[in-house]
Amino acid sequence: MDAYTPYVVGAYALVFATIAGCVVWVVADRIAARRSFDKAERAAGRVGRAADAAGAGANRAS
Amino acid sequence: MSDIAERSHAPRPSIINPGRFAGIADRAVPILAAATLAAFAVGLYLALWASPEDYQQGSTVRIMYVHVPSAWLAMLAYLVMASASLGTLVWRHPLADVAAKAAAPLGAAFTFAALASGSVWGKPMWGAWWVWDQRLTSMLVLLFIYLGLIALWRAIEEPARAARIGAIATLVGFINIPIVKFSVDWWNTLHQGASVLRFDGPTIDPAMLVPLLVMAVAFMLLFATLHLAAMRTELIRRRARTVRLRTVRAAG
Repeated sequence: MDAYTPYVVGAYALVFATIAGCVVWVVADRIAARRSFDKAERAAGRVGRAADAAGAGANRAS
Repeated sequence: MSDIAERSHAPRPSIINPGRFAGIADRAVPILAAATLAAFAVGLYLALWASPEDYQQGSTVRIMYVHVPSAWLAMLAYLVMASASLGTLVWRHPLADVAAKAAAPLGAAFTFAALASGSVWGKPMWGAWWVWDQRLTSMLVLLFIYLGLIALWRAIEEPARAARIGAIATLVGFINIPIVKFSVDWWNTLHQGASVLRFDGPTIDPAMLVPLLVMAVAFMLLFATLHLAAMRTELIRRRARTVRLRTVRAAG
């Protein structure tokens, strides 16, 4: 411990806060991307089911 | 989660096949994260307790153990981006653009960490938080290049076009990397010259060199972990975009 210790603590705090920010960004981004993918898949499923239903209706009509 | 990318690409017997890469990344990230934590535990012990204080700088020398690895990573991340950009332009490999795009925010963060920790060291040692020294200025330019590239990738919606323009811009910005590295040799700077990465070997005492190298390994493992995880996320996002486009076409 000397007169410079607050500067050392400050520098380490800045660097590790930046690292923590990176980790949070990576995790949050993954969650958002996964949700976006799941949403896209659900929409694709709805469109697929609607197309199947339309196809079945057309078959019955013919 | 590896099923997402695996379903989206025809199987190719190579690690650089996006689907296979996704599976490998999913297994590698937890192992790399554990190795990162272990390396940081050893590195921080050596840096904060086991290493000696400098006879002139006192305890501020300990800032070096986070400042220097951050600065190395700031340049290494750009090297990764430049190599990946070559892969995008020459081989048009889909993973190359993913690698470049995922590295940019990490490079920006480590550049900021290097600038911030250097600034905190500069106040007690130089008497100023900031000086327009060539090394500091070129690092600030590097930060702006990173931010510009991130903005560029986000501004262009069509991925192939964003990849091409981003790759060209990245390679143009690479001119700044040798300026950062050799600024202390080319100009008479206030920032000290290289003391580790020198042709004639390190000039730093082993009692300080060992903690510095251990911390450098920890930072590189951290970058590898975060970069792989960010690449994996980008693959998921691209797969989601493909599914959305396919749905729109099917509905139309």
